[in-house]
Amino acid sequence: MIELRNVTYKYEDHPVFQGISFRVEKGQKVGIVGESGCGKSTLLKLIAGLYTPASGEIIVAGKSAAAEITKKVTVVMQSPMLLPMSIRENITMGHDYPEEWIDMVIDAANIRSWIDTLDKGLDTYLGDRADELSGGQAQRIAIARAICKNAEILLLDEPTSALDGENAACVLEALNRYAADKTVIHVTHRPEHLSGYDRIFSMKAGKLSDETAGVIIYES
Amino acid sequence: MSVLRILIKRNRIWVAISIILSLVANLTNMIYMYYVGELVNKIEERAVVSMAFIVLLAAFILLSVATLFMNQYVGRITAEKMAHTLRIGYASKLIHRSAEQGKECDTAAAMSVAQNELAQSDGYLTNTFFDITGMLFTGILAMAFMFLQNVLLTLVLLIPTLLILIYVGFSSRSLSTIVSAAQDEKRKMNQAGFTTVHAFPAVKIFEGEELCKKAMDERLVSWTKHQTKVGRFAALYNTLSGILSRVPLMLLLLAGGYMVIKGKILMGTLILFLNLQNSLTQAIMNLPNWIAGFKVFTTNLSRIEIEKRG
Amino acid sequence: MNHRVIRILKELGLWKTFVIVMILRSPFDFLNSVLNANMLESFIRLTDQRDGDNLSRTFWIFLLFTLLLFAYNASIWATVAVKTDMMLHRRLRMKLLESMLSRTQQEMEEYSEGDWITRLNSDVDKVADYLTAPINFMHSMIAVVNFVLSSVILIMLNPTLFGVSLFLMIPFFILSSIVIVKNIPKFRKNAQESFARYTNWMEPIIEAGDAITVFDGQDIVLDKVREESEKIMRENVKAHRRTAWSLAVSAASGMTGYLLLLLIGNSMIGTMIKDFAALIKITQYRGRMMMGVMCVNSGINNMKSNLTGVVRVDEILKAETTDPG
Repeated sequence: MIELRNVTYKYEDHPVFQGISFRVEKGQKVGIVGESGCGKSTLLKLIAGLYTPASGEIIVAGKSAAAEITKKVTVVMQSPMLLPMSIRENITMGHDYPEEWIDMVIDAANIRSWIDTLDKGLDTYLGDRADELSGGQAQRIAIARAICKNAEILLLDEPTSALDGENAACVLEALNRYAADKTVIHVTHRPEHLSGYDRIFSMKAGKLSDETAGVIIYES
Repeated sequence: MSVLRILIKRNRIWVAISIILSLVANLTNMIYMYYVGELVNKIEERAVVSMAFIVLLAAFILLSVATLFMNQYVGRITAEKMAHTLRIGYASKLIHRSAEQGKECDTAAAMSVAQNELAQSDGYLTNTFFDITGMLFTGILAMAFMFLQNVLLTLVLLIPTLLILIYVGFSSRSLSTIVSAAQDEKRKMNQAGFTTVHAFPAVKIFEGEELCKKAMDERLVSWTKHQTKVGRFAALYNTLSGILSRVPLMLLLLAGGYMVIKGKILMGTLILFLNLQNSLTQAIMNLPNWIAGFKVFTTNLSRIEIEKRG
Repeated sequence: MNHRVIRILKELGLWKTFVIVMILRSPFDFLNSVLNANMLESFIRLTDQRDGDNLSRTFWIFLLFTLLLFAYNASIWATVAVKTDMMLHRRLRMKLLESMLSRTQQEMEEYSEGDWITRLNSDVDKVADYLTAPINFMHSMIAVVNFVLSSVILIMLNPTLFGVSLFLMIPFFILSSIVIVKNIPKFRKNAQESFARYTNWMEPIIEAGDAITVFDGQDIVLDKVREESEKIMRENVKAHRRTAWSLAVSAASGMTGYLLLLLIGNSMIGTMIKDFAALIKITQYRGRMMMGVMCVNSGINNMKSNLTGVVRVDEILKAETTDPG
């Protein structure tokens, strides 16, 4: 499902990863834990097709070209990255989805009760960079956007790092419910968010190791 | 205006030197023009122009050029000092804001101010502010000098000029309203660009490129609609102001001509007025543009908060 | 016109439209010069001839011509020129956005966020300013037409005084607009780069202000910002010093030329020059030539400083055309 074969990635000629390989099967839930700046977000961006490896190969859902990979994944990032448009446009990103699907999405993202309080509902304009929204509301819109894409693979990059405990729990609950039958890679520095995951990789001091199997996958 | 006051106050020595230099440069130039008027009288009388008189004129040319250089250089340094104060004041305010007021920083608005209002105010201070104040100063001094030469002829020039000023004042008010509306639209458009840059990874993952283009196009349409109105108003006002500025010159030639014929003034005095009126009418002719620019500048400044302590 | 600007205009499909606008606007300054010179000549001759009766008739005739000329200019400006300017903004901003959106995240990260925003906003303004803002390319072209045609008339009026005018104009022009201002674009570019770095410093201040406060880093960050701001000031002041020299040299040329024209012309009155009114007409054309040269001079300076934005915009557009994706 997701396979990295001898992947090397460089940033301004400085190698971030060299010869990294691992495989994630369909439906598996994989967590990657590690301190900030250890490269786990970069790894996720490589898997998402946002970065191209300097050498090696990344195969995601049978696709290896970065642009094709991007179509196969959906992502929730640390920052919600909302645009100054309506809630609907932020969720659908301008694509045509049936109204029933969007209804399902807002239920799944746990934003129905909040949207019902808005005069214009889904067509409420978010304003420039949606600064008037709370962090929890903004992140749940980002989750709705990720759910709406309905990709086979869900990539999570610290989706609750900017949220307080209550909001974080609510967001994680919505994500776990949606991700039940998906392949998931979740990057976080909080291992407690990964309970029930099939495999947990650890990234620390230049090593990427499979904590579940006790194997070092990569050592820089 | 309070920000502008702070900028001037913090650079008051430079501002004072600039004003003094501007005064000296303008006076030197006016005295030179007075002697050119004397030369014209000699030409009209077919009198001999002595070598001493030519040397005197040459000396005033040198003096005028030297004072002009000093005025330009120091004036622009002053504007740069003010721009520097503005840049540091804004950064300082932002750094101390959260600690002082405990309020959350609206990052999009603050970044937009740094990218737009601050950049534009900085550009205005660096490139335009000195020219505008310098021209206005010259215009006022030229008028005072003309009063000293001939009151009646100055009034012939001044009365229609005052009528133009009323027209300019009226028109610039309408212009500033639409300029301000266009500014707001431009700010929204620029923010759309900023959010697209900021949310770029999400745009790529969710294939939102078309949505971003559509959103930007909508804002562009809205801004260009407002900006077209600004352009058309500016064209109309500048043209009318151009025509009206020509009228005082023509009245000066008409009235001055009659006065020369009746022996009340000499041709040299008329030529002196012709040379000096240019400083006045040039200043007025460009006033709508300058006022609009200054309005944009002060509107931009009003959106920038700077550290009050300095 | 700079080859990059031509390429941008062609890519936006506005090259022909821009040329048409330029042709339509180009005669204004020259026609204004003709009107002004003839008006002064007529009034001064009538005054010298003590012909008070015809003074007011002359007044109304020149007022009518003034109205017609300015009406022409306003109609071109308010319709075609404004529309072209807006089309340029709209197409260029969209083209840049499309170019940006066609990049991968990795390509996008070749420039900082602040750099991208500068390219999308103020650099686009610089391209438009280069073409249509006051005392830039459009005004320079109008000034060139004025200079050339005023020169032709001056040659016809008095070749000697034309020679004197040119002798005092060309060397000074070369000195002020080529030699002195040569390094201005370099200083402006340095200042702009420092401004981009200053803006980059604003990003962490705005987005991580609390962290800076918590770790007591205000002074370090402010020192960095001050350093960049001082660099902007230093580079701009270097450019201003050159500009001041350039203006001083132009003023020296203008004042000396006018004085020489009056002195030499004085000796020609009655022989090669009809009367004082004709001499004033010559000084007017010479003045207009001088104005044209000064406008081109300032235009070149402004264009050079706007060129930094043009280069940065062109870099993005060029990258798009070479991008196989």
